[in-house]
Amino acid sequence: MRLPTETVIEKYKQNLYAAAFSVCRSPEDSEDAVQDAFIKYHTSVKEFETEEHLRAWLIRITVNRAKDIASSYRRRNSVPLEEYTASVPFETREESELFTAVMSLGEKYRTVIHLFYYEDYKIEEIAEILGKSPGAVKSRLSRARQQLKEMLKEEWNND
Amino acid sequence: MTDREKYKKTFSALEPERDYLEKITNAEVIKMKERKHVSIPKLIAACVAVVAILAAMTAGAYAADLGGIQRKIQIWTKGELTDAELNITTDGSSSEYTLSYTDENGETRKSEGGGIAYDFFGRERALTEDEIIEHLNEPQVVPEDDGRIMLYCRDQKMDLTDKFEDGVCYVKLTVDGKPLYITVTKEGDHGCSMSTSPRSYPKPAK
Repeated sequence: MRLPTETVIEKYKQNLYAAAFSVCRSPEDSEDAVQDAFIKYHTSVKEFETEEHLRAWLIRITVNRAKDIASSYRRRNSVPLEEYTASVPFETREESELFTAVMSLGEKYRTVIHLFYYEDYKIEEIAEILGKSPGAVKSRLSRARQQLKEMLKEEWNND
Repeated sequence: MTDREKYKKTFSALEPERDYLEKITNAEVIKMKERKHVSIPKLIAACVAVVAILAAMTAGAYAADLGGIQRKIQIWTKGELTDAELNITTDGSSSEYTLSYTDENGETRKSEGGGIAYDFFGRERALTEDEIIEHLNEPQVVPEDDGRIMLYCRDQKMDLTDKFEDGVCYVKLTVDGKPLYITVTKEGDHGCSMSTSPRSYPKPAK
């Protein structure tokens, strides 16, 4: 199956942007990663088995592209993270603190925790998307939760 | 509120600002079916010729009914510019073609294929004649009868047989003064698949 590119953009742009941000921590780099993912979809002739297959493909492409951009010399990263965080319309102080705490984690922890908590992927699915072993993903997830608990204390339950 | 609910609420506040739709509006995708080659032995080539004449007599009606186009063209086959006959039929949203030519051994060869183009909004349309001809002149990997695996791209020929490592071969050609990166992957005992890119070597097929 395939969906029109216009539909895919509308449906997935927020999720892909959030996934890219969990890697890049930069709005412009994240926008570039998402745009590249949509262009790749648009110019691909790939057929997808299900919409879930399409979603996983888009996330994998976006995360990989975000990693490439984050490690490249021409990385723009023009808006400081603190400035960007202040511009995001979080509803509560706790949300802002959670965002800041997640952004302070290492990249390999941020990506895993984002796919687990935001995209609802299971450890095996995250392993497949990232090309890592389930054991490595489980270890990163555990370490990330532990670090969040240390930073957020009672605001993070490790549930 | 669970950690998951908190996390979702927090990260749903992130919103991209870019108009992605505008950025790729002019791009267009062309999907081509695999080009299939059918060899027609010399002995029955004469029969085919007779059938072709009969077919030509009714070509007008055929073309009118199915949107058919018949063209004498030149295509690159195995590094040689070759006269060929191209027949295209369309049903509005897809195109099918048959291509026939005489190969270097005097045998009549026939290939079949077709495809669909998608515009930005996902609407299907039939491929144009130019798009089909462009497809026909794309690089080809041909497993020859003698066991060699040959790459042909316009007037360029390359024997890839001994260039594979773990079933994959990478080749860089120059076409119209621009680089073309080609990845060829062996499939089964005799088959090969090929991907091309103007920027870098595509990943091998799984």
